[in-house]
Amino acid sequence: MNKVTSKLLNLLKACLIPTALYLVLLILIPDRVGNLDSILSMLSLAVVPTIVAYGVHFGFVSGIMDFSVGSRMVLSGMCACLGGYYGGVVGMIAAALVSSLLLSAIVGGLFAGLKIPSIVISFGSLMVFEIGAVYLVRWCGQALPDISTGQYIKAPENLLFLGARPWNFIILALIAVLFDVANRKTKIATQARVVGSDELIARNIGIKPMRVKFSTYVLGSVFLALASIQSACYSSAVGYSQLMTSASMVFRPMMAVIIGISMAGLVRHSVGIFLGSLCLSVMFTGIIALGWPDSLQNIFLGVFLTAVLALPTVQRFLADAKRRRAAKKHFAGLAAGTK
Amino acid sequence: MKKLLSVLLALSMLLCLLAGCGGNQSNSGNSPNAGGQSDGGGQNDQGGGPSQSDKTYRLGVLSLGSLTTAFQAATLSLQDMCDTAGVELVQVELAGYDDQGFLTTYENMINMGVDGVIAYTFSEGTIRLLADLFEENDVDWFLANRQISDPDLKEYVFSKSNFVGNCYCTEEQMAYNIVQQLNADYGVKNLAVIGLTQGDLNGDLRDQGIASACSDLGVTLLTETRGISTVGDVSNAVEGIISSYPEVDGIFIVGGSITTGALAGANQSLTNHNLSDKVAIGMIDIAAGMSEFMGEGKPLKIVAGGNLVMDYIFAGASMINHFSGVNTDKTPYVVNTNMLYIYTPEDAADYDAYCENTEKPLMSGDKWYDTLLGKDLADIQAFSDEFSIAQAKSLNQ
Repeated sequence: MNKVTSKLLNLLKACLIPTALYLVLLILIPDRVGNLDSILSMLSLAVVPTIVAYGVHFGFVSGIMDFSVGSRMVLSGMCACLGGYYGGVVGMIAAALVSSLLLSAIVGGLFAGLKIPSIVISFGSLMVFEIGAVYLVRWCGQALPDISTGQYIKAPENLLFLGARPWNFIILALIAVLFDVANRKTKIATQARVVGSDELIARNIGIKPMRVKFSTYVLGSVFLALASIQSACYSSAVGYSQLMTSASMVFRPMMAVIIGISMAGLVRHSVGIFLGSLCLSVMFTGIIALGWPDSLQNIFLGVFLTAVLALPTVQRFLADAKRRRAAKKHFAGLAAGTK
Repeated sequence: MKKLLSVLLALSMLLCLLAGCGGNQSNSGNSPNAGGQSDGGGQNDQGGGPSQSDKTYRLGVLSLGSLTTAFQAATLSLQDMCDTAGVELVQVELAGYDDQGFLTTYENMINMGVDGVIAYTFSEGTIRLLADLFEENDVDWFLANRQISDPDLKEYVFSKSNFVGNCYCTEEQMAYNIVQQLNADYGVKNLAVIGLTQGDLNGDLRDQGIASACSDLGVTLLTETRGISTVGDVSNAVEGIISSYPEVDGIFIVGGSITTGALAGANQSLTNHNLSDKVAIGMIDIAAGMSEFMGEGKPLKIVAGGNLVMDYIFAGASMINHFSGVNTDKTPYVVNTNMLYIYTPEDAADYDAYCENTEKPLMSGDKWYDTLLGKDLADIQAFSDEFSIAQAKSLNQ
């Protein structure tokens, strides 16, 4: 079997999970999900979480738990909208990038400088950024009433196409390539993996873990900026979140990252993360299409989340069992040979 | 040496005791009641101002202005009413958005020496504890914007001597009315619901109203989705709904905090699928920018809300009247408030300008006495029943 065929086969294997989920839905509710529009919707719903997951990935593999991602996205999305009004696409991208880099550098800097656990820093920053977003929107509501209602900032109408099909798919493909390059070719990504797997070893080989972790915040912020643009153009507005609700924006991307990492043996992280996000999107649409009450939806999502989080442990357990069986067989063979 | 120390200690303790007692006396003696009275424009002559003692009545209220503009508008009007009546309004920041946070905040208010509290809580679970807390500390209280659904709890709360009253909107009925109007006026037969998280007292009542209306009117309740926190979540939910249910012709956004930008997200998803004029949206709770999504060819057809502002105003008026001795038989006030219905962009603009204006109170000065202060329950209820956007406009002039 040549390399290309093997890769294709692996890709097909990786695609089995979302396909299987979709098939289950197709059997249960063929008239609701058995149409092109439904499939395209599922793909569309996976776009923003995938890009966010790309941004979360670098920190996650280096051992950072960051729940401030949502609040940073909200703020940079707002800046992106404002930038879009004054500078078109370029202004939008520039504003999103600058704000996202700045906010990420603040969080990363606090984390690296104060040596406080990332989860604590993330919640602290989240609260500050959420209030920052409230004040920004309210200020815009008074100073720029044409583009803000005081509760949300509208995305420029001439740029909304960026969030609609087929542009969102094209942008996702480009960002996936960018992520793939960053993940495979950059020193930060490699060092992040080393730090995440064993910080002591990393330190012994001359890597400075805190510096690497700070860099993952910065590198991830580029993708978060792009995700905030996509999200703003998809929804046509960016509203503020309160009561730490923006923390929930990272749950799905984090699950996608875990699924993506579990599929690392089959496909590249960029593809694995997209497939993970697609699985969740299929489930989300499926749950709505099934018309389940909210309580049942929560039970199902809770079970699925636990299953996803248990996936690496199960994989390790299966690999260990396989190794033990092989060793047992090997020693049994040796013993038989000796006799 | 020991004797000297013990004498000094005893003396200092005595001094502290005397200073403490002396401070109390001087505080009550110098209480700035007159400040409020002079601002009030002779309210006592009109029978509504606080007159039971020389001490300024201190009314505690939660400060939730950062949550929604409705709270800001409500507190602004309340402040104006209190200024008029010579009552000191004590605003205390909420300590947390869970039950413990609410309890802590009310404990803080009591520690700050309030005489009465306008209480508000998300869930019914804390109401019994609140009743006990206020009774133990002999603080009058009024439950605003929350209907007690448990009859036993209601009986318990209403039996408390320092419970001044309760005002609430019949959330269930309001939700029912919206489904009814969507069905009758816009032909909605297949409805999807974007709801509040379960456990929210008002949200649960609204859900009951929707279910009941769907059952009575033959409207199919296709699906529900909850836990919405961002504009993107709403877009995703609507995208999911319209792709799975091509027959959907109505969406009910149940409201609460999810309405911050919810309409923009829902509208965009409908626009992407060219369904803006085919799917009618009904919503509870006011959202900024409503007018943009209303009108010919736009999806937003009905919005109901505004009761939160009125609940706070009625609660404040009832507390002041109670203190002023208007409610002589001490029967708890029960005020039913109504939501205001908004159907057109003009209604929405008027609502924003006159009912939920964060810069200008609903009314001011003697108008409070003309309408609510010094009035008995029947008058307050009559005002509530007749209240409309047009009336707010006339009061606001």
